[in-house]
Amino acid sequence: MQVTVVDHGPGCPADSPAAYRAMQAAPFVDGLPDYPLLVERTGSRLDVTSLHLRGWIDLATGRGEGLCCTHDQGAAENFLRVAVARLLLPAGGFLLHACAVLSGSEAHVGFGPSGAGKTTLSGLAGSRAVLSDDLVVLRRDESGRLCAIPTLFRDGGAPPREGGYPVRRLMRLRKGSRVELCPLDRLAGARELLAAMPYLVDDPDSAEGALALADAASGSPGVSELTFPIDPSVWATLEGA
Amino acid sequence: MTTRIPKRQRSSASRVIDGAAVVIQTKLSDVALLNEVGTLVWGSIDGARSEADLVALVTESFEVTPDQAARDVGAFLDELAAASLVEFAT
Repeated sequence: MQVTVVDHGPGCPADSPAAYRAMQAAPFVDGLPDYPLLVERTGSRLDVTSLHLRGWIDLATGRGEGLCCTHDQGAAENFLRVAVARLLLPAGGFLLHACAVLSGSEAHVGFGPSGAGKTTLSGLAGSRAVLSDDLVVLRRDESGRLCAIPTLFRDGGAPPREGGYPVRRLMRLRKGSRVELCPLDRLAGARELLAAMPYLVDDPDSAEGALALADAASGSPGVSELTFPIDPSVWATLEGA
Repeated sequence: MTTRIPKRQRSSASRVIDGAAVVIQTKLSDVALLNEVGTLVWGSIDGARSEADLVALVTESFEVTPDQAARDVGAFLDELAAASLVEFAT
Protein backbone atom coordinates (compact mmCIF):
# COMPACT_ATOMS: atom_id res chain seq x y z
CA MET A 1 0.00 0.00 0.00
CA GLN A 2 1.59 3.24 -1.09
CA VAL A 3 0.49 6.75 -0.24
CA THR A 4 1.98 9.76 -1.99
CA VAL A 5 1.52 13.26 -0.64
CA VAL A 6 1.63 16.04 -3.23
CA ASP A 7 1.74 19.81 -2.86
CA HIS A 8 -1.69 21.36 -2.99
CA GLY A 9 -2.29 23.91 -5.73
CA PRO A 10 -4.28 24.55 -8.89
CA GLY A 11 -4.81 21.31 -10.77
CA CYS A 12 -3.78 19.21 -7.78
CA PRO A 13 -3.90 15.57 -8.97
CA ALA A 14 -5.41 14.47 -5.65
CA ASP A 15 -8.53 16.52 -6.34
CA SER A 16 -11.39 15.55 -8.59
CA PRO A 17 -14.67 17.06 -9.79
CA ALA A 18 -16.55 14.06 -8.35
CA ALA A 19 -15.25 14.77 -4.86
CA TYR A 20 -16.22 18.45 -5.10
CA ARG A 21 -19.71 17.55 -6.35
CA ALA A 22 -20.17 15.07 -3.48
CA MET A 23 -19.03 17.63 -0.94
CA GLN A 24 -21.38 20.29 -2.29
CA ALA A 25 -24.30 17.84 -2.16
CA ALA A 26 -23.54 16.63 1.37
CA PRO A 27 -25.31 18.09 4.41
CA PHE A 28 -23.32 20.08 6.95
CA VAL A 29 -22.35 18.16 10.10
CA ASP A 30 -22.19 20.18 13.32
CA GLY A 31 -22.14 23.32 11.20
CA LEU A 32 -19.13 22.22 9.18
CA PRO A 33 -18.95 20.93 5.62
CA ASP A 34 -18.67 17.15 5.40
CA TYR A 35 -16.17 15.48 3.09
CA PRO A 36 -17.91 12.37 1.79
CA LEU A 37 -15.69 9.40 1.08
CA LEU A 38 -16.70 7.76 -2.19
CA VAL A 39 -15.80 4.08 -2.58
CA GLU A 40 -16.71 2.45 -5.87
CA ARG A 41 -16.10 -1.22 -6.48
CA THR A 42 -15.47 -2.74 -9.89
CA GLY A 43 -14.61 -6.41 -9.57
CA SER A 44 -11.79 -6.60 -7.06
CA ARG A 45 -10.82 -2.95 -7.51
CA LEU A 46 -11.97 -0.18 -5.19
CA ASP A 47 -11.67 3.41 -6.31
CA VAL A 48 -11.50 5.70 -3.29
CA THR A 49 -12.20 9.40 -3.74
CA SER A 50 -12.66 12.26 -1.35
CA LEU A 51 -11.67 15.88 -1.16
CA HIS A 52 -7.87 15.94 -1.60
CA LEU A 53 -7.74 12.16 -2.06
CA ARG A 54 -7.72 9.80 -5.01
CA GLY A 55 -6.70 6.19 -4.70
CA TRP A 56 -7.32 2.59 -5.58
CA ILE A 57 -7.12 -0.71 -3.73
CA ASP A 58 -6.98 -4.13 -5.37
CA LEU A 59 -8.68 -6.56 -2.99
CA ALA A 60 -7.28 -9.55 -4.88
CA THR A 61 -3.62 -8.63 -4.50
CA GLY A 62 -3.78 -6.42 -1.41
CA ARG A 63 -2.04 -3.63 -3.30
CA GLY A 64 -3.09 -0.05 -3.65
CA GLU A 65 -2.01 3.53 -4.17
CA GLY A 66 -3.33 6.71 -2.66
CA LEU A 67 -2.63 10.25 -3.76
CA CYS A 68 -3.25 12.89 -1.12
CA CYS A 69 -2.36 16.56 -0.93
CA THR A 70 -0.63 18.54 1.76
CA HIS A 71 -3.85 20.53 2.22
CA ASP A 72 -5.53 17.69 4.14
CA GLN A 73 -3.44 15.37 6.27
CA GLY A 74 -6.50 13.33 7.27
CA ALA A 75 -6.96 12.18 3.68
CA ALA A 76 -4.04 9.74 3.87
CA GLU A 77 -5.38 8.25 7.08
CA ASN A 78 -8.85 7.89 5.57
CA PHE A 79 -7.39 6.02 2.62
CA LEU A 80 -5.48 3.65 4.89
CA ARG A 81 -8.55 3.09 7.07
CA VAL A 82 -10.55 2.01 4.03
CA ALA A 83 -7.71 -0.28 2.95
CA VAL A 84 -7.44 -1.93 6.37
CA ALA A 85 -11.21 -2.38 6.68
CA ARG A 86 -11.62 -3.91 3.24
CA LEU A 87 -8.52 -6.10 3.31
CA LEU A 88 -9.34 -7.48 6.77
CA LEU A 89 -12.78 -8.64 5.78
CA PRO A 90 -11.83 -11.79 3.82
CA ALA A 91 -9.69 -12.83 6.80
CA GLY A 92 -12.67 -12.51 9.14
CA GLY A 93 -11.50 -9.27 10.72
CA PHE A 94 -13.09 -5.87 10.96
CA LEU A 95 -12.45 -2.34 12.13
CA LEU A 96 -14.66 -1.05 14.92
CA HIS A 97 -15.12 2.52 16.13
CA ALA A 98 -14.12 1.55 19.62
CA CYS A 99 -11.76 2.01 22.49
CA ALA A 100 -9.96 -0.97 23.92
CA VAL A 101 -8.42 -1.10 27.39
CA LEU A 102 -6.44 -3.98 28.84
CA SER A 103 -7.35 -5.58 32.11
CA GLY A 104 -4.75 -8.25 32.77
CA SER A 105 -4.24 -9.91 29.42
CA GLU A 106 -7.79 -9.30 28.21
CA ALA A 107 -9.33 -6.35 26.42
CA HIS A 108 -12.49 -4.50 27.30
CA VAL A 109 -13.80 -3.06 24.05
CA GLY A 110 -16.24 -0.15 24.18
CA PHE A 111 -17.81 1.08 20.95
CA GLY A 112 -20.26 3.61 19.62
CA PRO A 113 -20.46 6.82 17.60
CA SER A 114 -18.72 10.07 18.47
CA GLY A 115 -19.86 11.19 21.90
CA ALA A 116 -20.70 7.68 23.12
CA GLY A 117 -17.80 7.67 25.59
CA LYS A 118 -14.83 5.93 23.95
CA THR A 119 -12.31 8.61 24.87
CA THR A 120 -13.96 9.10 28.27
CA LEU A 121 -13.77 5.39 29.19
CA SER A 122 -10.14 5.25 28.02
CA GLY A 123 -9.35 8.36 30.02
CA LEU A 124 -10.73 6.72 33.18
CA ALA A 125 -8.53 3.65 32.71
CA GLY A 126 -5.82 4.82 35.12
CA SER A 127 -2.78 2.59 34.89
CA ARG A 128 -4.45 0.10 32.55
CA ALA A 129 -2.92 -0.01 29.08
CA VAL A 130 -5.00 1.49 26.27
CA LEU A 131 -4.92 -0.06 22.80
CA SER A 132 -6.85 2.79 21.22
CA ASP A 133 -9.50 5.31 22.12
CA ASP A 134 -11.03 5.42 18.65
CA LEU A 135 -10.44 2.50 16.30
CA VAL A 136 -9.67 -1.16 16.96
CA VAL A 137 -9.18 -4.20 14.75
CA LEU A 138 -11.10 -7.27 15.88
CA ARG A 139 -10.28 -10.70 14.56
CA ARG A 140 -10.63 -14.28 15.80
CA ASP A 141 -7.57 -16.27 16.79
CA GLU A 142 -6.95 -19.92 15.92
CA SER A 143 -9.10 -21.05 18.83
CA GLY A 144 -11.97 -18.90 17.57
CA ARG A 145 -11.73 -16.32 20.32
CA LEU A 146 -12.29 -12.72 19.28
CA CYS A 147 -9.16 -10.64 19.82
CA ALA A 148 -8.51 -6.89 19.82
CA ILE A 149 -5.49 -5.77 17.83
CA PRO A 150 -3.94 -2.31 18.11
CA THR A 151 -3.82 -0.21 14.96
CA LEU A 152 -1.75 2.77 13.97
CA PHE A 153 -4.91 4.86 14.07
CA ARG A 154 -5.15 6.71 17.39
CA ASP A 155 -2.67 4.28 18.97
CA GLY A 156 -3.12 4.19 22.72
CA GLY A 157 0.38 2.95 23.51
CA ALA A 158 -0.38 -0.61 24.65
CA PRO A 159 2.42 -3.01 23.78
CA PRO A 160 1.98 -4.84 20.47
CA ARG A 161 1.21 -8.54 20.76
CA GLU A 162 1.01 -10.99 17.90
CA GLY A 163 -2.60 -12.05 17.44
CA GLY A 164 -3.83 -9.32 19.76
CA TYR A 165 -5.58 -9.53 23.11
CA PRO A 166 -8.62 -11.74 23.79
CA VAL A 167 -11.79 -9.69 24.15
CA ARG A 168 -13.37 -10.07 27.55
CA ARG A 169 -16.34 -7.88 26.81
CA LEU A 170 -17.83 -5.96 23.86
CA MET A 171 -19.81 -2.97 25.08
CA ARG A 172 -22.00 -0.40 23.36
CA LEU A 173 -21.16 2.74 25.33
CA ARG A 174 -23.56 5.36 26.61
CA LYS A 175 -22.89 8.16 29.05
CA GLY A 176 -25.22 8.28 32.04
CA SER A 177 -25.49 9.09 35.72
CA ARG A 178 -24.69 5.61 37.09
CA VAL A 179 -22.95 2.45 36.02
CA GLU A 180 -25.20 -0.12 34.36
CA LEU A 181 -24.13 -3.12 32.33
CA CYS A 182 -26.92 -4.91 30.48
CA PRO A 183 -26.53 -7.71 27.94
CA LEU A 184 -28.11 -7.04 24.53
CA ASP A 185 -29.90 -9.75 22.61
CA ARG A 186 -28.13 -11.04 19.52
CA LEU A 187 -30.12 -8.94 17.06
CA ALA A 188 -29.67 -5.69 18.98
CA GLY A 189 -25.99 -6.43 19.53
CA ALA A 190 -25.40 -7.13 15.86
CA ARG A 191 -27.22 -3.97 14.84
CA GLU A 192 -25.13 -1.86 17.21
CA LEU A 193 -21.91 -3.46 15.94
CA LEU A 194 -22.89 -2.87 12.31
CA ALA A 195 -23.43 0.80 13.01
CA ALA A 196 -19.87 1.03 14.38
CA MET A 197 -18.14 -0.85 11.54
CA PRO A 198 -16.83 1.80 9.15
CA TYR A 199 -16.33 1.48 5.39
CA LEU A 200 -18.11 -1.88 5.02
CA VAL A 201 -21.78 -1.29 4.33
CA ASP A 202 -21.49 0.63 1.06
CA ASP A 203 -21.20 -2.32 -1.30
CA PRO A 204 -23.19 -5.57 -1.28
CA ASP A 205 -20.25 -7.97 -0.98
CA SER A 206 -18.61 -6.28 1.97
CA ALA A 207 -22.01 -5.60 3.57
CA GLU A 208 -22.79 -9.35 3.51
CA GLY A 209 -19.44 -9.98 5.18
CA ALA A 210 -20.04 -7.28 7.77
CA LEU A 211 -23.47 -8.74 8.60
CA ALA A 212 -21.96 -12.17 9.14
CA LEU A 213 -19.16 -10.84 11.36
CA ALA A 214 -21.51 -8.65 13.41
CA ASP A 215 -23.86 -11.61 13.90
CA ALA A 216 -21.00 -13.87 15.00
CA ALA A 217 -19.52 -11.33 17.41
CA SER A 218 -22.92 -10.61 18.90
CA GLY A 219 -23.25 -14.35 19.53
CA SER A 220 -19.76 -14.74 20.99
CA PRO A 221 -18.49 -13.02 23.06
CA GLY A 222 -21.82 -11.14 22.95
CA VAL A 223 -22.56 -7.45 23.29
CA SER A 224 -23.57 -5.56 26.42
CA GLU A 225 -24.67 -1.99 26.86
CA LEU A 226 -22.56 -0.04 29.33
CA THR A 227 -23.96 3.20 30.74
CA PHE A 228 -21.46 5.06 32.88
CA PRO A 229 -20.72 8.43 34.50
CA ILE A 230 -17.33 10.15 34.40
CA ASP A 231 -16.00 8.23 37.38
CA PRO A 232 -13.08 5.79 37.51
CA SER A 233 -15.19 3.40 39.59
CA VAL A 234 -16.64 2.14 36.32
CA TRP A 235 -13.52 0.00 35.98
CA ALA A 236 -14.04 -1.66 39.34
CA THR A 237 -17.52 -2.58 38.17
CA LEU A 238 -16.29 -3.93 34.86
CA GLU A 239 -13.50 -5.98 36.39
CA GLY A 240 -15.77 -7.34 39.10
CA ALA A 241 -18.68 -8.19 36.81
CA MET B 1 -54.85 -7.54 -7.66
CA THR B 2 -51.67 -6.13 -9.13
CA THR B 3 -49.31 -8.50 -10.91
CA ARG B 4 -46.12 -6.83 -9.79
CA ILE B 5 -43.19 -9.21 -9.40
CA PRO B 6 -40.66 -7.80 -6.95
CA LYS B 7 -36.98 -8.52 -7.33
CA ARG B 8 -34.26 -7.59 -4.87
CA GLN B 9 -31.87 -4.91 -6.04
CA ARG B 10 -28.23 -5.86 -6.30
CA SER B 11 -27.44 -2.98 -3.94
CA SER B 12 -28.98 -4.73 -0.96
CA ALA B 13 -27.47 -7.14 1.55
CA SER B 14 -29.36 -8.99 4.25
CA ARG B 15 -29.15 -11.63 6.95
CA VAL B 16 -31.69 -13.16 9.29
CA ILE B 17 -30.56 -12.83 12.92
CA ASP B 18 -32.73 -14.26 15.69
CA GLY B 19 -35.65 -14.54 13.30
CA ALA B 20 -35.54 -10.95 12.06
CA ALA B 21 -34.11 -9.79 8.75
CA VAL B 22 -31.44 -7.11 8.89
CA VAL B 23 -31.37 -5.36 5.52
CA ILE B 24 -28.67 -2.98 4.32
CA GLN B 25 -29.25 -0.52 1.51
CA THR B 26 -25.65 -0.17 0.47
CA LYS B 27 -26.10 2.96 -1.67
CA LEU B 28 -27.33 4.80 1.41
CA SER B 29 -25.33 2.77 3.98
CA ASP B 30 -28.70 2.40 5.68
CA VAL B 31 -29.58 -0.51 7.98
CA ALA B 32 -33.18 -1.62 8.60
CA LEU B 33 -34.66 -4.27 10.86
CA LEU B 34 -37.78 -6.03 9.59
CA ASN B 35 -40.57 -7.42 11.75
CA GLU B 36 -41.85 -10.98 11.47
CA VAL B 37 -44.12 -10.31 8.50
CA GLY B 38 -41.51 -8.19 6.75
CA THR B 39 -38.91 -10.90 7.28
CA LEU B 40 -41.21 -13.50 5.70
CA VAL B 41 -41.98 -11.27 2.71
CA TRP B 42 -38.37 -10.16 2.23
CA GLY B 43 -37.14 -13.74 2.42
CA SER B 44 -39.71 -14.79 -0.17
CA ILE B 45 -38.84 -12.16 -2.76
CA ASP B 46 -37.00 -14.18 -5.35
CA GLY B 47 -37.81 -12.47 -8.64
CA ALA B 48 -40.34 -15.19 -9.45
CA ARG B 49 -43.08 -14.86 -6.83
CA SER B 50 -45.65 -12.19 -7.61
CA GLU B 51 -47.18 -9.76 -5.18
CA ALA B 52 -50.27 -11.99 -5.16
CA ASP B 53 -48.10 -14.97 -4.19
CA LEU B 54 -46.64 -12.98 -1.31
CA VAL B 55 -50.10 -11.93 -0.14
CA ALA B 56 -51.19 -15.58 -0.16
CA LEU B 57 -48.10 -16.52 1.83
CA VAL B 58 -48.85 -13.89 4.47
CA THR B 59 -52.50 -14.93 4.65
CA GLU B 60 -51.45 -18.55 5.20
CA SER B 61 -48.85 -17.69 7.83
CA PHE B 62 -50.61 -15.06 9.92
CA GLU B 63 -54.11 -14.49 11.20
CA VAL B 64 -55.00 -11.77 8.73
CA THR B 65 -57.68 -11.34 6.08
CA PRO B 66 -56.64 -11.42 2.41
CA ASP B 67 -57.68 -7.77 2.02
CA GLN B 68 -55.58 -6.65 4.98
CA ALA B 69 -52.63 -8.77 3.80
CA ALA B 70 -52.91 -7.25 0.32
CA ARG B 71 -52.83 -3.73 1.76
CA ASP B 72 -49.91 -4.50 4.07
CA VAL B 73 -47.84 -6.33 1.47
CA GLY B 74 -48.51 -3.64 -1.15
CA ALA B 75 -47.46 -0.87 1.23
CA PHE B 76 -44.39 -2.80 2.31
CA LEU B 77 -43.30 -3.41 -1.27
CA ASP B 78 -43.82 0.26 -2.07
CA GLU B 79 -41.56 1.13 0.87
CA LEU B 80 -38.91 -1.31 -0.31
CA ALA B 81 -39.06 0.16 -3.81
CA ALA B 82 -38.83 3.73 -2.46
CA ALA B 83 -35.69 2.68 -0.58
CA SER B 84 -34.30 1.12 -3.79
CA LEU B 85 -34.28 -2.30 -2.17
CA VAL B 86 -36.54 -3.91 -4.79
CA GLU B 87 -37.55 -3.26 -8.36
CA PHE B 88 -40.63 -4.60 -10.15
CA ALA B 89 -41.22 -6.62 -13.24
CA THR B 90 -44.77 -7.05 -14.49
